[in-house]
Amino acid sequence: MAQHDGRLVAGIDVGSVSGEAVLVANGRVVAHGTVPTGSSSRLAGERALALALAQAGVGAADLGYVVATGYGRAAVAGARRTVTEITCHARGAWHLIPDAATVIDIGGQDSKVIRLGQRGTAADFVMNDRCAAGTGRFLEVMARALEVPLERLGELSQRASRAAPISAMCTVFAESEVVSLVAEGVPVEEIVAGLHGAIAERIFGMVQRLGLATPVVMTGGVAHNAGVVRAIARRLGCEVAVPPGPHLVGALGAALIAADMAAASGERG
Amino acid sequence: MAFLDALRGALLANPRLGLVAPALQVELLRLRLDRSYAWRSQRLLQETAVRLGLRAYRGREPVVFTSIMVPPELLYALGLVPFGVEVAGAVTSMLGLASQCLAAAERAWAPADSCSVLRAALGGAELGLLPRPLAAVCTSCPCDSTAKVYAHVARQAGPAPLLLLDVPYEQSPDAVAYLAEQLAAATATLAELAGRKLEPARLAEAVRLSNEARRHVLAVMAQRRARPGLLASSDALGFVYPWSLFLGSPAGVAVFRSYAEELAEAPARPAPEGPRLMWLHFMPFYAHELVAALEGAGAAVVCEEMTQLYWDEADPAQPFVGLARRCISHFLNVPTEERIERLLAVARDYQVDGAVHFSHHGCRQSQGALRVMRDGLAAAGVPLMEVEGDLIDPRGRGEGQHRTRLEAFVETLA
Amino acid sequence: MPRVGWLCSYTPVEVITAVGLTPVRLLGSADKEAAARGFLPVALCPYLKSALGTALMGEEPLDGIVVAACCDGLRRLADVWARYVPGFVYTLDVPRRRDEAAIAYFRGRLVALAQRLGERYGVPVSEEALGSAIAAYNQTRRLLAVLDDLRARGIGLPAGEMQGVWERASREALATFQPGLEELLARLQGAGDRPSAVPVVVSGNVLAPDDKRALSLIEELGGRVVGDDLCSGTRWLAGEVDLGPDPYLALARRYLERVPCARMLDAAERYEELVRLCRRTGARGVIYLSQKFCDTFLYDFGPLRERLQGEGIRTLLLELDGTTATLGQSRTRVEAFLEVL
Repeated sequence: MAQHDGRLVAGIDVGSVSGEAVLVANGRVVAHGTVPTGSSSRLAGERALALALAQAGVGAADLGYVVATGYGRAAVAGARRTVTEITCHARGAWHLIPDAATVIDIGGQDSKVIRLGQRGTAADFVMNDRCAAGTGRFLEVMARALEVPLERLGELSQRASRAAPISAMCTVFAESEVVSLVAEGVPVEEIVAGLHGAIAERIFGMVQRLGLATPVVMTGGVAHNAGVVRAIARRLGCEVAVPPGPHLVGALGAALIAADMAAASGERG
Repeated sequence: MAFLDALRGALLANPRLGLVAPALQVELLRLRLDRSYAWRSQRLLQETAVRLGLRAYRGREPVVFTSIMVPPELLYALGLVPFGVEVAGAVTSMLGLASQCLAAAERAWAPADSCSVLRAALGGAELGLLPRPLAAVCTSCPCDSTAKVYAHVARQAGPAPLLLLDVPYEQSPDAVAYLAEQLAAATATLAELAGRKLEPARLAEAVRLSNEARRHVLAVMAQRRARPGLLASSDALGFVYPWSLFLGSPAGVAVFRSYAEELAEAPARPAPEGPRLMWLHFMPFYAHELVAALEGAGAAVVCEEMTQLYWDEADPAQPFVGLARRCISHFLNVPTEERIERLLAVARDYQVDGAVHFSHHGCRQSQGALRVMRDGLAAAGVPLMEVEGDLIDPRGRGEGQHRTRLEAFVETLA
Repeated sequence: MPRVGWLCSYTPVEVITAVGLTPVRLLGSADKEAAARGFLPVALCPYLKSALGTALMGEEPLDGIVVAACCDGLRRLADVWARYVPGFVYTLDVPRRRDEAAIAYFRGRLVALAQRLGERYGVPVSEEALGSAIAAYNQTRRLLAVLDDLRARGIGLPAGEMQGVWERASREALATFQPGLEELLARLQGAGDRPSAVPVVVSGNVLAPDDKRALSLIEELGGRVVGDDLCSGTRWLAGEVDLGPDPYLALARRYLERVPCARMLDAAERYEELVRLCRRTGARGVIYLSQKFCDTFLYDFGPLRERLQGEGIRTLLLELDGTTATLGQSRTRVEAFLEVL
C-alpha cells in the first residue's frame, strides 16, 4: 500500500469509446484505470475510478477533488467540476512535455488541435466533430473493412512502400473506396498508409487554420498508432512527440486541474 | 497529356512561377501543328486561351483578375491582360490540382459548403499559383461567393486593390445608369493604377470588335438551330470562356468568325431522331459520361442555357451604357420566372423535349428555385431532370446512380 | 391592419409602416423546416427554409412579403414564395455600395416600393406619414440603444431574452411594443450588477427563435453576452435615421451607411466595429454564429478572425441549423472557448 501525504485527487475522462481515470498526488501519477465506455457514461466513470483506486490501494474516502472531462463528463457522479477535453489535454500534455506548443488529440468521435498558452492552458483550438473522417471511428470502420485488427494498423503501414491515395473525406465514401482498392489487388499495407495519409491531411488542415507552433505533441487513443503519427509528422514537416500513455492525457489533465483546485482551496484529501 | 503535366509541374515548381510561361509557349507552338481537334475553331480557341495565359504569366504586361461577368472590353481598351479566376479554379481540375487547391482553401478557412470552383481558385492563390495582378475586378453577381473569393485572392496574389461592380438586380434605366457609372469609374481607376491614359477611341474600337464578334456568334447560333447536334454541348459551353475574356479583342472576333465559317462549311447531317435535350448550367469534368448515358439511351443534347446570346450591340459612342446593359441582362441575374421564359424561348427554337439541370454543390443561386424551374418548364411541356454533383471536385461523384436516372429520364420522354 | 412579412435587416420597415401596414419579421422555427423540403434545396439557409415552411403550413397569415434581395438565398426564396404561397412578393433591390450614387439609386428603389405598396392598398404614401413612421422607429432605436448600453455594463437581460425583445420589436406594432420596452428599461435600471461571468460578444447573421438556445447555452456555460453584431439584433436597429427634408433619402442613407452586413462591399468595416465593441464592453472573445450554408458570412470568418487576433481577441465559429444535434456538438466548443478565455 503506497503512502501519500494527503491531496490525492482524481481526473476522470469518459469518451465515446473508453473511460479513463488517473490519480495524482504531489504532481505525480499514482495510478490509473481504463474501461470500455459501453452504454453508460456514469458507470464507465465509476468503474475506471474503482480500478485506479484499487491499483493505488486506497478507497474513495481517501480521494479529494475529482474533475471529470470528456464526452460523458456531465454523467460522472461525484465530480467536483467538469472541464472540457480541450483544456484537459492541454494541461496533461504540458505536464508531460513542458515545452509543448501544439497538441493534437484524435479521439474516438472527434479530433482537436490545441495551441498551448502559458502554463499548460489552452490558448486557442480548432475542433472537428462533424465528420468522422480523421477520428478513431474512421480507423475502426476501415480496419473492419480491411479485416485487420485496429492495433496492427501502425505496423502494417510501416511496411508499405507507397500510400494508395484515398481521396474521399467522408467515411462512407472512403469505405467504398477501400473496398474497390482491395478488389483491385492493392496491398493492404498501402491502403492503410493511404488512410493514415487522409487523416494526416485532415489534421494538417486544422493545424494550418490555427497556425503551426512547435513542438507538436499528439495525445488520445489514436496516438498509439505509429503509422498515423508518422503520417502527421510527415505532412506537418516537423516532429510529433507522443508521451507515454497518450490515451490517459485527458484524465491526467483533469487530475492536475483537480490538484490545482485542491491547492487553491488549501484542502487536504 | 504532356502539356497538362508540364503546366502542373511548372506551377508547382513555383518560385514566382517562372516556368509557366515557357510551358505555355511550348504548348502554343505544339498547337499550331496539332491536327487532332474535331474543329479547327476549337484549336483556335485553345490557342487564344493559351496565348492569353502566356501573357498573364510572362509578367511583362499588367494583369487584371476579372470575373466572368465583367466586360473585358474595358481591359482591352487599356491594354491590360484579363485573367479569369473562376477559369483558373476550373483549370485546377484539368491539371489534377483540384484536391490540393481545395485543401489549401480549407486551411484558409474557406467554407466547405461553398462552390468548389471558386474555392479551388482561392486555394490556388494560397499555393501561389496565380500570377501577380495589378488589380482585381469582379461583379456582385452571379453569386455571393464571387466577391468574397476575389477579395481573398486579390489580397493573397497581390496584394492588389479589388474593384467591385455592384450589379443591380433590376433591368430599369436607373439600374443601368448606376452600373454604367461604376464601369466608367472602374475603368478610370484601372487606368490610373496602370499609369495609362484611357483613350476613348480605343474603348470605342474595343466595343466595335465586341459587336463584330457578337454578329459571328449570332451566325453560329443560327447554324446550331438549323442543325441541332452539330456542335457538341461540351464544346459549345467553351464559349463562356471567350465571352468573358476575349470580347473587345481581335482574337475574340477571329474565334467566332472561325466557328461561324466552319459550322457553315460542315457537311449535312441527319437531324436527331430521339428526344432533344437542353442542358442547364455548366457541365462537370465528367460530363462525357453523363452525355454518353443520355446518347446511349437515344437522346441528343442540342442546346445549352449558358451559350444563348443575351445581349444587344453596344453603341461605341456610349460604351458604358451598352456594357452595363449586357452585364445586367445576364441570364444568371434574373428572377427565376424570367429565367424560365428565356429557357422556353430557347426550347422552342431548338424543339427541345426535355431539360437536364446540373446542380453544382454550393451553387445556391442556380438551384435555389429548382422547384419553380421544374414546375414552370414542365407546365410548358419541357420536363426537367436534376443531376446533382460537383463541377470539379473529384471526391464522391456517384456516377453509377446518374446513369440509371438519366436513362430512365430519357425513356419517359420517348 | 394588414400584415406584410420581411426577412432581411435591409428591409425598410418605415416605408411599410407608412402605408398603414404592419411589418412582421418572419421568424421560422426548426420544426417547420421540413415543410419546405421539396421547395427549397437542403443546402440553403435554415432560416429561409423554416420561414417558407411556416408559410406553407399556413401558420403565418400575411398579405404578402417584401424581400430585400440581399443574398442568393433571399432571391431564390422570393421566386419560390411567389409561386407557392398566397399573397404578393415584392423584391427590393439593395445596393452593395454606400457611395452617393448607391444611396441615390437605393432612394429610387424606396420610392418605387412606397408607390407600389401605396397603389396596392389605395393609400398614397405621404412624406408626412413616412416622417412619422421614421420618428416612431427612431424612438424604438433609442430605447434599444439604452438596453444595449445596460447590457454592455453587465446589467441587462440574459441573451435569450434580449433576442426575445428584438423578435417582438420586429413583429409587433410599435404602439404596443414601445410601452412594454420602456417599462422593462425602468425595471432594469434599478437592478444591480449581474454576477461576473466571462464577457463575450456574438457576431453573425440571423438568429431564428430556436437559435436562442445557442445564446442560452453560452450563458449556461459561464459566458455573458455583453454585446452583439447580429443582423437580427443590434445591427438591425442601430443608428437613427437623420430625418431631413427628403425622408426617402434619409432612409436610404441610414440603411446603407450603418454598420455593414457582410454582403456589403465595405464588409471589413464590421470587423473594426467589433473591435470597438469588444473594447467598450471588455469582451475578450467573439462567438461567430452563422446560419449554415451562408457563404457571405462564412467567408468573412477567416479575415475577421485574423483581424481580431491582431487585437488579442479570440474567436469561435458555430454554424447553426436550428437543431439540437448541432447544439450538442456546440456545447464542448463553447465550454472550451470560455475556458480558454
